[in-house]
Amino acid sequence: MRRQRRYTLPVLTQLSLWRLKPLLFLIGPGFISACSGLEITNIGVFTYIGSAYGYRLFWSILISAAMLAFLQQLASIVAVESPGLSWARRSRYYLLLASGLMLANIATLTANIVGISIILSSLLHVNWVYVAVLVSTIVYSMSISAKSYSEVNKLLTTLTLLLGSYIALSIIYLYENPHIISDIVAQTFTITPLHENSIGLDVVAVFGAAAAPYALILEMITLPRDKDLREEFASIGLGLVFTSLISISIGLLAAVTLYPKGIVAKGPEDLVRVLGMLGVFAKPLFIIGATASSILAIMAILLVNTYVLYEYRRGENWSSNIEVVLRSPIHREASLMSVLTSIAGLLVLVIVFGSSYDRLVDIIRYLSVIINLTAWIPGVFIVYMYRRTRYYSKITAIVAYVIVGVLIMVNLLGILW
Amino acid sequence: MDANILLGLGLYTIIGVAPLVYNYYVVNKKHANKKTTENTNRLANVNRVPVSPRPVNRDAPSPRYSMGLGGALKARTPPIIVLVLNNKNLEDPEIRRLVITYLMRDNERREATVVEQDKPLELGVKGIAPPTEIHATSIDSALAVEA
Repeated sequence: MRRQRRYTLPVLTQLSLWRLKPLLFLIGPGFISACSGLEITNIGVFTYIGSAYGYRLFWSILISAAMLAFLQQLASIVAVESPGLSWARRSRYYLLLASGLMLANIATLTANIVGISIILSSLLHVNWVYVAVLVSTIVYSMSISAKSYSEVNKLLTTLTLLLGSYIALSIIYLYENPHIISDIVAQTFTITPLHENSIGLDVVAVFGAAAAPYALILEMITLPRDKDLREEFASIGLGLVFTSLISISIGLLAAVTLYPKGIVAKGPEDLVRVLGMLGVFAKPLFIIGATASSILAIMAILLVNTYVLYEYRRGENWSSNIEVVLRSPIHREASLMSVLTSIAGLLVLVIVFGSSYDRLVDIIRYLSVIINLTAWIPGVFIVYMYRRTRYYSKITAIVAYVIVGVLIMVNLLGILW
Repeated sequence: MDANILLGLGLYTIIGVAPLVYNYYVVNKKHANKKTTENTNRLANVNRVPVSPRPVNRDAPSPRYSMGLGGALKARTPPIIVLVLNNKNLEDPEIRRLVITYLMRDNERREATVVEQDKPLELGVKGIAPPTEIHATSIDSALAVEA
């Protein structure tokens, strides 16, 4: 039966919000994934980069985000062709993958627990080590007792949208000071030799913060098998745009607020000072946004660690469905193991760095370097598996090897610098 | 604009953006070209044929079942694959690998019903076993032969 057509003025139809709907559907997920993908390592490292070097290291943020997006594309191809980590489990190097991934994950986990603890304790004015133990316990129980993982996820993701204020503030700043745009472009893309002492390690830290490997594995274990890859690639592309935008925004705000005064970001107060334009709202907004995004990251890491252990332990008759994995006793075991390991790592950090709030950014930087040291291992696996998929293309494979090679080279050069 | 900046922008485009766009192009092309015969002779390809989880009424045969694998791909319908072999077939290592690959698809243990070669197949049966080992589940027997 033919539906009766409603006659409206053509202009009204054109102006209707529904015409914008496809656009909103595209932009929304990109923005959300960029906000929820942030965690304390990103915020800390990008703020540091902006405050210490101005706009000069923005190129490393852009390149690392693009490389991660490329590896994400390959990961989604592998995930669609072979679910979960079953592809890797068959390899005899699975233990290498698992241990490299675990090390990077524990480093990210520790960074996030330390981050939340220092941020919360600077508000509560107690020693952050106590808060760290408290946070670990809370996150552990949240993670394993969550009846519905997606519900908690949704709530936390909504809270992380507050971090979108970095983008908003940057846009306002650029609108008021349009002359600095050319400066940013020039300093981001001009190829000049860099002479500072610790710059190599800082570039490694940017790569570690931007390309944390748990995100890749999470993508692989949660992607539905019947997903249309073109759709997935579109969302990865949009995710890249927004991730670059929000990362550059963090760096930009640090570069315009801290860099001219010669302040290099150290503690949580400096991270909040970057949002100074928000006035009294800066502190609560930062605390809620950063805590939510860090908890989100911690839960994702616990899930990935569980999955890696599950794949290692499971017998042939087990299913690797994510719901089954979450309900299995291994989830409790792997989460406890991860949290305890990161508490041990945290104690080492206290011995090395002391328990002063002002070491927050230093801790995050060094942990990001550790993350990047192992971040290339999942990359190698993904590229290797990509070669066996239906979507194999020689050029892409060569580019992929080059990119993984660059990741390894960044490590070597950064440490030798 | 300064030539140096253009060089930097160009490098970013080549290193960062171009691989993403090219990858999208490849996937888009291979997606559009479903009839591609590339790799179809590979054993591992069995792993990639989607199988519908919904039971299909096999008593009412429709043309798509007679079209074979290529026809099913053309019609974009998931083919039902039933592998029926006898012991002799299973001695061939290539076939054995194919069987194991098929049964281990998704890396989940499949509920495989053992069927004999001369027995009519039942609804949704995806089974395989040498006719002599009727009591074992098919995957066990296939793996046992492999071992």
